[in-house]
Amino acid sequence: MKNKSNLITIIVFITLVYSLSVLNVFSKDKDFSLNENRYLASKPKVTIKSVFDGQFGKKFEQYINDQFVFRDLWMGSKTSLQIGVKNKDINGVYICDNGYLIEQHLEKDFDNKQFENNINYISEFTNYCKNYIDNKNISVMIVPNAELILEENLPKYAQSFDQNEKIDKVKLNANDVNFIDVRDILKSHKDENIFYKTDHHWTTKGAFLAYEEWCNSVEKTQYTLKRVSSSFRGSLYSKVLYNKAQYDNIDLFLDKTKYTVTYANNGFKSESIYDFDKLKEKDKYQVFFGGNHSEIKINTENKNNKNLLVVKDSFANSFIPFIIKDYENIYILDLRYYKGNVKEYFIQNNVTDIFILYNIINFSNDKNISKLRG
Amino acid sequence: MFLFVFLPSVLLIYYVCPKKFRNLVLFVSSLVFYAWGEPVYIVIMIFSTVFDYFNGLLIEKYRQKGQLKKTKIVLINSIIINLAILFFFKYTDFFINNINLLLSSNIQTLDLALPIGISFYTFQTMSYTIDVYRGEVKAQKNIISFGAFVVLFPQLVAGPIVRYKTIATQLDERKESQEQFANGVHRFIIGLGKKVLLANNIGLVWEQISSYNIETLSTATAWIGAIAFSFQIYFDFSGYSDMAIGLGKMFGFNFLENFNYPYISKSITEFWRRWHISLGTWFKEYVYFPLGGNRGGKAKQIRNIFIVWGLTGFWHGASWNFVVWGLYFAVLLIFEKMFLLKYLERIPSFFSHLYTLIFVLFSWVIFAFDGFSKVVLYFKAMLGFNSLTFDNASIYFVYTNLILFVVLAISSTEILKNLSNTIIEKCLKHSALVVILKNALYIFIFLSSITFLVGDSYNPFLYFRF
Repeated sequence: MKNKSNLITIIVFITLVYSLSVLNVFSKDKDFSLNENRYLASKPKVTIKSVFDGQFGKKFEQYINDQFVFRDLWMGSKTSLQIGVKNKDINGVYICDNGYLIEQHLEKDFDNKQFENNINYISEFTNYCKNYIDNKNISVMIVPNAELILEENLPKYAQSFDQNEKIDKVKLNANDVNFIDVRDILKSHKDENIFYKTDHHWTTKGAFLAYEEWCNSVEKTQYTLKRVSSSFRGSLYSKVLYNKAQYDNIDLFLDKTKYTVTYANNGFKSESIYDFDKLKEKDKYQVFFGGNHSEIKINTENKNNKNLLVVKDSFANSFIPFIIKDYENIYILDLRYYKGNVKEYFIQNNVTDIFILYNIINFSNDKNISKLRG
Repeated sequence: MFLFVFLPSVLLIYYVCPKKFRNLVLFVSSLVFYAWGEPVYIVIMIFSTVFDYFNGLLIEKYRQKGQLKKTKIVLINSIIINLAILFFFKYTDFFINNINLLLSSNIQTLDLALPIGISFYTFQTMSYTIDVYRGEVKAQKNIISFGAFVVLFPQLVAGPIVRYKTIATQLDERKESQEQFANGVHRFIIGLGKKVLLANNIGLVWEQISSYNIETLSTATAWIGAIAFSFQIYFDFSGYSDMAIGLGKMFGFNFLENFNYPYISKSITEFWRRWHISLGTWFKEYVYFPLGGNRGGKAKQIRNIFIVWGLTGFWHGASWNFVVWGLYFAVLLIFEKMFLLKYLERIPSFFSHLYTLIFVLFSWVIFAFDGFSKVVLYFKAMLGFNSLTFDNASIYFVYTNLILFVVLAISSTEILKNLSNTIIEKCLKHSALVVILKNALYIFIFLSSITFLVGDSYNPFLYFRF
């Protein structure tokens, strides 16, 4: 029996190791992981230099790891194991009891220096613009994360950084312009799916509440939402590949106003800001504008001479649909990709209104906001 | 990567080759393994191999001719060169920084990357020439066999430090067997599980806690952090040793044990008999005894203990906190030798366990931090000088990692080993059920470890300073 036992051990081990090795060699390499929404490492080229400085070894390791057979299955199993031993945060995502996945941000993930700098860049920019337009026409909105709005959904005693303190700081520094504080309105509707359960973005509903806050409830808009997908699993799902995660709905606000959207980088024009083809893909949030672009122009039928400049991150993509009807032209810049001079852009386009919208995390960590200096 | 490209290839080539080429296979594959991460530094390793290969031969030749003086010169030369290599790569910047600090001079540091495993293989080659000099082993005639000993990949990066005399005969005449291979597989999987499932996961807790501001850390969180690091370093280090021993067995070697449940010790003296045994033995044999050990009176013994433990600490890294860490143990060991051990044996074992664990825990805090000011702040946090006793963070860490902590605690003791032995021997003998269950368990650990290796980016290497 003892001999047999040894033999079994050896056979099982050898079979496992060799079959996985062989599968790894023969499985076809993938360029892109749909689930993780990122490009995977490809086989590195052997050069004398890369072998000698150790780069080849490192890249090869990354390659093997990224192209490991059944990668998604392994990752999902890891999540199941961790949930099995009652872990509540996995790969920086809190697994919440009511089906919510909420991204974890700790004090150490927060770049305080960059944050302070970004606040200064914003004030410097708005001060410049105040020479040309009224300060009431400059609006700043910093969107809190689900971590704050849905804090009651987090696992008990979970750690997170103090978002309120940070947002207060931005607010204080933006006291000479129109700072739109959306925390209270979002909080009071926290049970109405204002954040996606599996994605870090807010939903169209959440963005609408923020829009109402901006309008100061002067004119309540009639709005109806149309459900275009109920099988969305977003960025946070990708991080954990948790098989019990829920599916999100995507609702869109369909406006009657007629307009043309122009994507500056490729000159593509469209009658709709929605790219419905993206609903067939994994990252369905890209239905808004087809994703992030350096510069987008929207020209509407509303000839009121109001030209809005939006400086934003991806949270604005689901917000902009609500404001299209209010302007003649909307210029949207994403500083992560835009390379031009923003101040000149502001002058050239006869901008009458400015709207700066960032999520608090992006706002604190984005190095590109320095581009506002000119 | 290692598991699914390197290991299967080497195993295949190794067992396909006839016996006389097997050391060559190990030698070459180990060089490939090392070159993977450190392509340039492979030169040092080859130099070290060739150099001490000839030193061994020379020592033996001179001894046969009766020229004892010359044997001594060769030995001293060997030790000096080995230490010089180690010092140059590991400690030069440390000394430059200290001289700069002392004389407020401005000497440029070298900023050399430390060759991985250099502290391990220089110690191994030194043990060889010393043992040949002492006549405890014959010099190795075959440079390939000697090379295989120096660069053997299983223990190359994180030990254990294999002394030549312990595997001298195995190098030339070992018999690989099914039983040994199977044991090796089990041992390897245990090691892998310790490293990937236990150490890495508890390491996340420590990583998070150590990133907090120490001055506002609550007492409970500070203790949880220190406990987490203690578990991390033990399971990481002993996991590597288990993997090395297991791999060794797959290739027919029997390395000596490196860890023996250190956290069940009842004194610091016992702890160091169970922790990193290969390093302790090395220093005992090649430093402590030559200095005179405990012969020559109390004063001399105390001096020797200080020297040995200062060096042991310094071996762990070129930084003052490692020296302090070593001396901290020297002091404890001296106290124990003088009077404490007697009391420890008399009091209930619960208290001697507690005493040992607490002092070991504090030692890891000295070990874990780079600067000494952080160590002091962390001690303060642990001793309750900060305003909070416990906070939400402490509760969160405990309840989300409770199962992990329990598994870690149980695995630190011999309970599981004894339990499985009892079940196997008394109740079931070697019935088919046991075989199936046992293998299923190993497969589970193995597959789980792969999920963490594939799905995780967090895989720290703690010994880059060794």
